[in-house]
Amino acid sequence: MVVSKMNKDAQMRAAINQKLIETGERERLKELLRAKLIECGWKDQLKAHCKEEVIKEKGLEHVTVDDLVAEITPKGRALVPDSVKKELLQRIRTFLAQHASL
Amino acid sequence: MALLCLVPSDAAPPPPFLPPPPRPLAPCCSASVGPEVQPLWGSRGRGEEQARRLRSADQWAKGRAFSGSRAWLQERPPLGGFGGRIPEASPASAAASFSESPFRVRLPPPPPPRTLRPGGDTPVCVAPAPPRPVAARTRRSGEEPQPGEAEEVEEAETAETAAEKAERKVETEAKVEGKVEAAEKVDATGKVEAAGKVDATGKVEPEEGPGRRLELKLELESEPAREAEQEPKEEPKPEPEPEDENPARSCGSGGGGGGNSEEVPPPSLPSDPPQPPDPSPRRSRAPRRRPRPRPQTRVRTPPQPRPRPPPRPRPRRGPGGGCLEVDFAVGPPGCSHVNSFKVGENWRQGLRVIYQCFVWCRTPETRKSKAKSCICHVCGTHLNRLHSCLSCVFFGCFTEKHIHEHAQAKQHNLAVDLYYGGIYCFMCKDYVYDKDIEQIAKEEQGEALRLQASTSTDVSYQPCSVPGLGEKYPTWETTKPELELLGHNPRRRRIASSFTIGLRGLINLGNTCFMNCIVQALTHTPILRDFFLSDRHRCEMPSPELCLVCEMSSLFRELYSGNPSPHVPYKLLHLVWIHARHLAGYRQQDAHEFLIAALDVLHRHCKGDEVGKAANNPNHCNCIIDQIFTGGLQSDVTCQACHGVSTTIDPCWDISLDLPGSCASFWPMSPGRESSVNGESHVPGTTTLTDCLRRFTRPEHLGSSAKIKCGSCQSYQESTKQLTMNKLPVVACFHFKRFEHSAKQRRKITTYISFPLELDMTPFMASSKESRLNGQLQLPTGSGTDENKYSLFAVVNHQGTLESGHYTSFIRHHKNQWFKCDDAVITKASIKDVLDSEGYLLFYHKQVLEHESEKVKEMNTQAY
Repeated sequence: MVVSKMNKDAQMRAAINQKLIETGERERLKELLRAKLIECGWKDQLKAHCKEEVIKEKGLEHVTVDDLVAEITPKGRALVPDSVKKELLQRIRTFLAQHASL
Repeated sequence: MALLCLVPSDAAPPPPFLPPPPRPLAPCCSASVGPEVQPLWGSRGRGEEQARRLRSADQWAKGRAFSGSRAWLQERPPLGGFGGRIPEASPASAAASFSESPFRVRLPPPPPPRTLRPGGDTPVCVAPAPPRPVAARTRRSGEEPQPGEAEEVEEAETAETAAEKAERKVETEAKVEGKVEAAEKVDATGKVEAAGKVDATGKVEPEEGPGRRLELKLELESEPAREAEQEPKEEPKPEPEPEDENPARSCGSGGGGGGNSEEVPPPSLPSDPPQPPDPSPRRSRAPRRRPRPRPQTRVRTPPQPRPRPPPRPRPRRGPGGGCLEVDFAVGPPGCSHVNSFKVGENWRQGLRVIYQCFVWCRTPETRKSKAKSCICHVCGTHLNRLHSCLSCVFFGCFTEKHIHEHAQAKQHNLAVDLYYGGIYCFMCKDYVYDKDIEQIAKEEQGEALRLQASTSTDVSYQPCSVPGLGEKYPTWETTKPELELLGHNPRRRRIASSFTIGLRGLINLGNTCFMNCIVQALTHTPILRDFFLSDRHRCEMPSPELCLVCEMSSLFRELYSGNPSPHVPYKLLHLVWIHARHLAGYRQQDAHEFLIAALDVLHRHCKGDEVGKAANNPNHCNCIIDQIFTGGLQSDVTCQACHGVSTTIDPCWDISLDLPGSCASFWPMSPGRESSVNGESHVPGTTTLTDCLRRFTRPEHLGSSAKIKCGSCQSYQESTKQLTMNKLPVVACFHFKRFEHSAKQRRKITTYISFPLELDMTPFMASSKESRLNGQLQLPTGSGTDENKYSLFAVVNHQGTLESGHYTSFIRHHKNQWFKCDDAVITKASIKDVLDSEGYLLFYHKQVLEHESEKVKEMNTQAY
């Protein structure tokens, strides 16, 4: 059923993702990331950005999730602190090392 | 509930001190981990006015406060320095020019109704709007048979008390402006108020006992909802659903319709034809005495095809039920399309399956299936905001619009986001928040998280995933009592530096000054204060009345209540006697001993350990005491033969320092040299705290009589031992060993030790050992890290002799003000007073608190 339009890279990513989900690691990483982003203030920063820029601009009534996603995604990605990225990467690396059969 | 603004103040005698203008001192650390509770206190206008008045009067010289005699109880104490004092008469009566406490909040009798105009202002005090509209009480008369309504109204009315009426009025207004959220899906607190029980037939039954529970879902929400209210339009907002929840209440107050009709119309009924909201701006505050029309409050969608059965008594879901027989089976829908989805018999079950299989997996099987199947059916990606169709088995990504194509093609209007669990309606073109579905989602997610946390055995993960994030950082949704409190106290309060909240004397109950001083120090520990004042303690003790942590919590509440009269800590004393027998009795005791005993009991009680049976593993204890006070003392024993080092790290709550002139002391350096490391006084010949610390952390030859068995040499060798700090606690306590009990003599060493206002512990860390060996004790210039810097915030002093004496303390208030606490008497002090005092126990607080994530790293590295 799945039309495979993926290249090697994407295949690899999919495989890793599968492994992460199966072992439940993805959920743990998600929680870890959430906690870190809250603790480092990223969430508040982005929330403020939302309120100030997006909603004031468009008006609360007319903002849709799509608008927010479009606006916030690049900013959110840029604001993630390096330490958090490093830590998550480290965890993923460790995980991959443990499941070398991949 | 530790909302301090609600502690009614007693007949408030004014506090016996006057704060002068703040001095420009080095700021104390203001970083705090917990949420600040302060904004709720204080009264802006009154406080400032008082401060002005007092400054001009300027009656309070330092040291004026002591009065009364001090006759010590003479007893021979076995250890340490002792202090005791006969309780003196209440010093609060000392004249003060305060006419009233700057802080006084009382629960008033029925509050005057707030003026809420339709579309008008939202009261400032209102809680932030919860993520979804909270059901407000509303009329459910739509479901009731029409006749007899008037009678209900009147009976209900008469059954109410005045207070309730007032509250209802308040609610009425709130609702008029706000949305009409069907209270039928009463939320988790689920309390339903009824003047009397009114069942669907409209009869009023006598009210049950104390059943008058207020359901204050004052939904004073933000602008948008109001606007939505007033502009009927097609929107995927939760539709109020009439429900027979509270006919009695609805009679009295009624749900505020989106239309600002005088009669606060109920939410729409399926059977009702849609009617435009009544644009009348008047709101009725009088009880309604005639049947009301029932226009639809929000005309956003055409009449919804909800097949609602006629109202009949049905078992009520939700806690504390019993008053009304209502069915909460179907809550307010997110949009009409969601409504249609919710029609079938088993839609809940189906939804749960979807959540459990594709969104929040619990079991390895579901995870496997999720891993395999959750990819876009069009492009195969697992990213790009994958959604699952609610009507068939189709996964499509959102970003590439594959799920949109499917929705279009198959006319399947709803999809669920596999990452967050939100429901997207393709017709409304937005995510919809349906109350029921949200509830289900919350449950599923919570369960999955709980399971994940409980099965996670990886230590390094635990600090992050336990407890679940939802519990750790929950969104604040107001509860009924909170709404009441906010309603009663709408004025915003701010703490100014002239305020004396937090300063309160403690009555001496018979040589209990040792306890009073430690209590003052602990209650002015910023991070501990933040913890307790945010009500973060959850009692784990089997018998909570014996819990010392609960008592601490209550002490904080007392001391920060704004009540200036001294507090009588009899319960604390009682608990101390029970849990620390060696400190029981009215004899004079040692403050340091009390500190350690108190920390120990608190630590145990945090974990519910009443008798100290559980093996304490400080490395893994996460209680607040350990988080704050526990440091790691590293002991390195170096074998002189092979130079192998054996390291152990022990947890410690304080550092006890020997003083010059004691028998045990060995002072290789002349005191006063290099005392500028921490900016201490340069008076030559004065020993400083830094000197003491240096001595404490110097390598010490253990001597030939104390050979240690070396692991590598496999023999007993002479060795040197060095103590350093491996991990610094947030709050560092230093204890000067002033009380000497050697064979030769028993005396108190009263040598003055100079201590600084700010302390940098870097030279005494384990990591600094090398630089010390090379002779550098000075901190490298430009050492960027502030993470080892501390600020002084409390000093406990002892006056007297070893046999008997008296304890007093200095505590830091509002960053730059210092106060001397002498049992029940609190006086303003200068920084000079503090630094010139003898010093027995010193409390330093870290200036910069590191993230928990950093701590986790630390823990990890230690483990290796």
